[in-house]
Amino acid sequence: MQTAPIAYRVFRWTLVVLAGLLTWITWMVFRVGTIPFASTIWFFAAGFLAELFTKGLDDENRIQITPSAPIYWAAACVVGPPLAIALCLMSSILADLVGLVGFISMRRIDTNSNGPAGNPMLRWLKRISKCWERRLNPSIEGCIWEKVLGCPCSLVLSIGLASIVYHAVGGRFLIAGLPEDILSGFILPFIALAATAVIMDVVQSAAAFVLYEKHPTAGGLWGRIKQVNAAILETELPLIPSQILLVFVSLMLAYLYVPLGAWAFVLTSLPLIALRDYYYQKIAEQSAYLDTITTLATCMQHYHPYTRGHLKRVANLAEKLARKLRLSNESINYISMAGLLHDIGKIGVSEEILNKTSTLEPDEWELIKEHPDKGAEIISHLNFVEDIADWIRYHHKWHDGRGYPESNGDLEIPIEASIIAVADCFDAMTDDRELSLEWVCDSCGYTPMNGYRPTQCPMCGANKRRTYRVPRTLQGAIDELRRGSGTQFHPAVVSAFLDMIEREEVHSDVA
Amino acid sequence: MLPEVFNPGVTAVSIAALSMSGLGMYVSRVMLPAKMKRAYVKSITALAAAVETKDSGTVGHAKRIAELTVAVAQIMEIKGRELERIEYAALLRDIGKSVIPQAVLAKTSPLTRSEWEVVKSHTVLGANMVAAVPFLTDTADYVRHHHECWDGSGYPDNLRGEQIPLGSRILAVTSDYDAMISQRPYHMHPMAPHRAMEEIRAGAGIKYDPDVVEAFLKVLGEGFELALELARVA
Repeated sequence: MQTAPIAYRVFRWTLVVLAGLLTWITWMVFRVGTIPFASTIWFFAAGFLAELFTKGLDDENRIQITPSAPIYWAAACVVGPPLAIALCLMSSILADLVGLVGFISMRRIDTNSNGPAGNPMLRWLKRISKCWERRLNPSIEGCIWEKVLGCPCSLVLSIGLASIVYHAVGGRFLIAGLPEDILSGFILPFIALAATAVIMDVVQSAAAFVLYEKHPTAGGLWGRIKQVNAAILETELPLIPSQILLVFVSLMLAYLYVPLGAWAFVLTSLPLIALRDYYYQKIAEQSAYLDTITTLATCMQHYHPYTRGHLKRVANLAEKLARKLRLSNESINYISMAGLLHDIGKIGVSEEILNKTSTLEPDEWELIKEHPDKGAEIISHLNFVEDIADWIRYHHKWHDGRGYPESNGDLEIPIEASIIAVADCFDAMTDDRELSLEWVCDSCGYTPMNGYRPTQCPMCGANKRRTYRVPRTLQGAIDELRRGSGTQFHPAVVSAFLDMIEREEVHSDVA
Repeated sequence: MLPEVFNPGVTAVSIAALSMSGLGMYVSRVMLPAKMKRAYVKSITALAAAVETKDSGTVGHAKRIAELTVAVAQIMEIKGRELERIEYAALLRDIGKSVIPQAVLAKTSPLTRSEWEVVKSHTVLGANMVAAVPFLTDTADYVRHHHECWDGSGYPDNLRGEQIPLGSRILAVTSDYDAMISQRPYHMHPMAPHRAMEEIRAGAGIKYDPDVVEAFLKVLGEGFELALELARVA
C-alpha cells in the first residue's frame, strides 16, 4: 500500500469543498420551480446503469470508455444545472454503493470457493466490484470518505460548471421545449458544454497526477508538470475521435429526449454499444495475434539451450528500464514483448554460425547482420500500436551510428531500441551460460560488448578479429557499460541502468 | 400523436443514430477482423520465410503452399474458421525445422537412421509449438500429421485414411507438389509441373487421399499455376 502525499489529499478535499460550494450556488441561482420528476429519474436511472457498464479498455484500466458522460451532458442541458448535479451525484454514489456490495461479497466468495467461473450472476458481481475497486484505488492509502466522495465530487464539478457555461452562452433548457433558433439556442452552447466538461476532467486528473508524486522527479514541480503534459497528450489524443462521437451521441440524446422520452435512451445507446464493441474487438484481436508470435518465439528458444532464459531476462530488464525512464504507457506495455522478440530474426541463422567460436567468414557475418532486419520484418505487420519493428531493427545500432544494420544519414534510434541493447548486453555479459562469445580486435585488443561483432574494429580499423569465451563479473559488466556510454549506448539509458543496479533492483547470475 | 412526435428532425436524427450503430458494428465485426487477419498472415508468412532460409535457402514456399492449399480447400467446400486453420497450418507446417540443426537439414548425402529420425521429429516439434499458442491450439493437429500417408506409411503416428485430419491430407498433397517442382540442396533437379502432377495423380489412394487429389488437379487445371506465376512476376 502506498501513502498518498499530503498535497494530493488536500487537493481531494478541496475538490469536495468546491463541489459543495458549486451545488449550493447553482441551487440559489437557478431557482427550481416545479421539478420534472419523470425526466430526472430517467436520466438518473440511465446514468446509474451506464456507470455500472464502465470498463477499462486495457488490463490496468488506464483508458476507460465511460458511457455515463454523454448521459450527464444531455441531462445538464435538458433539466438544468441544479437537477443535473443532483442526479449525477445520486447515480454515481449509488453505483459506488453497488460496487462496494459487489466488492465485499466478492472478497467472501473468493476466499470461500474456487471463484465465480460459470455463474453469470457472480461474474457480473465481480465486474462491478472491479469497477468499484478501480475507482477507489485501494492500493493508495487514505481516508475512506475521501475516496467515496472523490469520484462523485469531481463529476459534480465538471457537470455543474459545464451546465452553467451552457446557460451563460445562451443555451435554453430543453425541458421547456426546443428553442426556436436551434443552432444558437441549443447546438452551439451544447458543444461549449461538452468541451467544458472534458477540459474539467482532464484538468482534474492532471492535477491529481502532478500532486500524486511517487518518486521525486528532476526539475521539481515544473519538471513534473511538463511530464504530465506529455502523458496527457499521449493518452488523450488517441481518444479525441471517440470523444467527438460521444458529443454527437449526447447531442442526439438531448434532442430526441423531449419528443420521444425514454425511447431516446434506447436509440442512442446503440451507437455507444457499437463503439464499445469496436474497442473490445480491436484489443482482443491485437493481443491474440501478438501472443501468437511471442509464444512461437519463446517456444523456439526453448529448444536452443544457449539462449534459454536470456530473452525472458532481457524482457524483464527492458521493462524495468522503461519504467525507470518513464516512457509512455504503450512503450512500457510493449517493450517486454519486444525484448522477447528481439532476436527472432536469428531463427533463420544456423546454429553452427551462432555458436562458432572461431573467426566468422564474411558471408557468415552478413547472415548474422541480417537478423535485426529479419526480426523487424516478422513483427512489422503486427505493430498496431507502436513502432515495435524499429525497436527490434535497431537493437544492434550504436548510439553514435556504428553497428548494424547499415544506414545512411542521420538516424533517430528509438530509445526503446537503446534500452533493449543495454539489457541484451548486460544479460549476455553477466549470464553464466557456457557459450559466452566475445569479440576482440587482434590488433589493438579493443573489446566491445558481447554480442557486438563488427566486421571492422571501430577503434583501429583493422579487419581481423577473434571471438572467445569470457566469463565476466558484475563489476566488469558495469565498467563495460560505463565505457560504452555515449558511443555504443545511449547515455541516459546507461545512467538509469547503473542507478537501478545501485538500488539493487537488478539481479544477475554473477557476483 | 405519431405525426407530431416523428417530425422530420426527430426522424432524421433517429435514422442517423441507427445508421451510426450499424456502421460501427460493420466496422468492428467485418472490416476490423479482416484487416487484422491480413496483418497476422503477413507476420506468420515472414516468420515462416525466416525458417525457410535455414531449411532450403529459398523463400516463398510457405506462402505459395498456403495459397495452393487454401484454393484446394475452397474447392472441397471448406469455409470459415476451418479454412483459416488450414491456412495457418500451411504457413506453419515446417516451423519445427527452426529447432533442427541445419547440418542435418541441408545434408546432400543420404541421411543416417538417427538423422532421419531427427528430421521426422519436425512434425511433432512444430505441432507442440503451435499448440502452445492459445489462438492456434486447434491447428496443431494439422501440423503434426502433414507427413502422414493415405496407406498408413507416413509419420509420426502411422495414421491411415480418414484417420488423418482433412487439413493434413490437403497439406500433404500441396507441400509434396511444391517440393517436387522446386530446387533443394538434396534435390537439385526440379520436376516440370506437369510431371509433378502426374506423380501426384499416381499417388492417389496410395500416398494421398483420392478426393483431395481430384480437387487439387481441378485447381491446377483451372490455371492456378498461371495465376501464381503472374503473381510472382508482379
